[in-house]
Amino acid sequence: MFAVAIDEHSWVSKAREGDAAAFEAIYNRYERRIYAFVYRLMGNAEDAYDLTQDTFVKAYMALPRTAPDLNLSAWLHRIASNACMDVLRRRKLIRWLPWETFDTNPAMEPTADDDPVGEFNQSETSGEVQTVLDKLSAKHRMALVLKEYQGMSCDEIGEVMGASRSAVKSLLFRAREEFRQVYLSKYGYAPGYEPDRVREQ
Amino acid sequence: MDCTEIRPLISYYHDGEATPEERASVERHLASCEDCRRILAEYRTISGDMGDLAIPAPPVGLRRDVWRAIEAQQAGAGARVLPSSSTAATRKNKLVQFPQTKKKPGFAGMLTNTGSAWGRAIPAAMVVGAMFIVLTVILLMQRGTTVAAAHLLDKGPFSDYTKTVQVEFVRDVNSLDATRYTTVSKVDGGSTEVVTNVEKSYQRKTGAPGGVLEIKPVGTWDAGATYEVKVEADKINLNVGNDKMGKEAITDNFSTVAYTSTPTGTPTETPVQPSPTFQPTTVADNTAVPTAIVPAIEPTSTSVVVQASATPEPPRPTDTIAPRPSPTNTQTAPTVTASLPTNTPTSIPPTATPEVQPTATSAPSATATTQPGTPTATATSTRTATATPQLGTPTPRPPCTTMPVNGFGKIWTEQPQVRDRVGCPTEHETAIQTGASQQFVGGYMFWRGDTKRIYVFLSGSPNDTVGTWQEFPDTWNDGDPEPTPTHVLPAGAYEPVRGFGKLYRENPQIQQALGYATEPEQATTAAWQAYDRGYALWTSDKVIRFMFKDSNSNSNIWMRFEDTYVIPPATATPR
Repeated sequence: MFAVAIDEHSWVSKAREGDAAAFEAIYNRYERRIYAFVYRLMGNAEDAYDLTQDTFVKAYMALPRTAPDLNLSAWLHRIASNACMDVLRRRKLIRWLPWETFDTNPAMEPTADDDPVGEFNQSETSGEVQTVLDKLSAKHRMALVLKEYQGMSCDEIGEVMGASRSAVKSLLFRAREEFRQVYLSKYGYAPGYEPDRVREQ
Repeated sequence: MDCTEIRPLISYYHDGEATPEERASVERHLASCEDCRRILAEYRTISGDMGDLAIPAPPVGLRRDVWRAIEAQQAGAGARVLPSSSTAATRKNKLVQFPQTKKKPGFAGMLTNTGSAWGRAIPAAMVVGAMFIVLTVILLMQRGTTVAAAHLLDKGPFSDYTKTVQVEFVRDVNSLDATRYTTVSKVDGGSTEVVTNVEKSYQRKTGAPGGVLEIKPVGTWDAGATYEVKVEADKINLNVGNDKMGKEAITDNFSTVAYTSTPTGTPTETPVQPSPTFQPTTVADNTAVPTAIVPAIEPTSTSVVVQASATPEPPRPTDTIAPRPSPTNTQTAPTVTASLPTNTPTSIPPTATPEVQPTATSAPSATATTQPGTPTATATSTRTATATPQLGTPTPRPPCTTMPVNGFGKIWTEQPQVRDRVGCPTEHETAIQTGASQQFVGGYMFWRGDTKRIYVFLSGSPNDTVGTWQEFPDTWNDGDPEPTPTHVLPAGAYEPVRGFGKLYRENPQIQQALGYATEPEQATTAAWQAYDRGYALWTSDKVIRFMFKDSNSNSNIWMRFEDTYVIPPATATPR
């Protein structure tokens, strides 16, 4: 929307000069979006909290060094995704039990504590989707979340992930294939083909 | 083309990213291939299911912790790390990790960078060892010291008389009980008097047991006073089981620094400038910027407590702390006269030392019944020496000849980012009897009848508390014909009329940014005050907007606040 573009441009340039109010405006606009993005990448509220905080702190400190034509949304997502990748990479190094040992990972399951106001109810399908997402490779998960959950175009995803548009297209294809395989092996049927749903159809 | 070759194209096709040739190939193939049609259906299901995933709401404390972490970053790299049982501080320790580790790797970092298996194994062993030591130390500390089930996170003495005091509960307790059975009393000699004029709110910690009860004064704490916080643990239920939190009440004290003003005619005396943004007594702790993250273990009840909230509050326009001058606080602070826009507010500063404001929280309109300085040598010296930086470039409270009063004064006093940015009033508040306002999807319009100016406040959404504003002359005259509305608007949408309508029609950018109006134009009374670098606007819906003027831009920032100022009953007059 035009208003968004005007405000964002103005806020970014003011925030770049250390204007806290302008940064607050940016924060207001992106808090929920970044939090949701990180939540889906990491699969739990604790990480989402920490890494969203990390993202905005890094953004605040780095804004003065950004280019004038900054794409704020892509840039914030990029900071967030890098932060997530760092954590995932670190965890991978110290993980000594094979992933398959865990049928479900309690830390990944949203709890009542994550949702004090009851806004966030995880339906059965959502639970399945998140479970599968958690098992995808981090890059595939990221591409799918940016595309299907954040609604970004391939160009925007490329900007976030530092890849060309054609690379993103291929990545999305491989991500979908991995999703299908994981889903099938986990639930015994393909996405959208669970016995009940098929019967209804 | 066989199925293997066509599969990637199906994905591009699904994304709308296939070229026309690819699209034609896919459609030809799908017409004859059941398997690939099924693949496309699965892709669509994945998209649909992922798009339906709920959007979780960020936890309440996130914004606060972001600002605290930013502030910690700005405070510099040299600060020390203290263990803390405070959630906020713990998070800060965990997260503020990026500065020095990359630039100056320590021994472990150098090993990690070797890239060899040993290079990873040795630091890993060190980490495990460190975790063991940390756990052991924590266990020993817990055994060796008695951690109160509830304690104050910071005991002062506070120079900020509007300070929100925090009581940390180390176990999960019933929040209503915690609120109800925690009281504050002022200790006066041997006697105590319960302070009822406080607001309490309990917040559970995320990721750790316990919570924090925040107690803020509706007015101000008395200067130079000692307060006792009493937690009746024997009445507070635990969240799990039938046990109470403890067997007997727990008490903890905090204090405020004595108020000192500069008596007129004694210029040799060193003045004290209390400021709510500076917390001298806890500066060392506040500036802690953790540089390394030890394992993600949150000690839930260590005996060392860092006062996270004592950090000077960074700008948080959506937070309201709600302090206001207490009319009963005549013992040390100036008496307050609630003056209205039409009244003549009095300015405080003693003429002999205009650079000093008598108090941080006594508002602005206080008539200067200042008392001879009460000696507070410690507080004074510490405060001036260790003023902690805040966001942006901190500036000390400006000496104002005219001080803002009422709701403006309250926000100006409480919100350093407003005060620093807008500067001093250049005039007294003006009451505006003829004003009009209208809410839009993308902002708000205000018409000032006495000067015939229109102010347009743009925002991303109606709930935004920050946005940009612009000023326009109102060129519409009574009797001018209204054009026939050209748009067919949805129910609940309005097209602005009269002056708003003219401005709206003549400025396509404004029109596009504002969208349609969500209510008809409303008449409003208002209060207005010009400042060095902006204006303050109060409207009768009890909203205050501070409008900052930036000489380098046509698009200035506004911040919106709820007017929580309550006129003290003794002098109350309707605004």
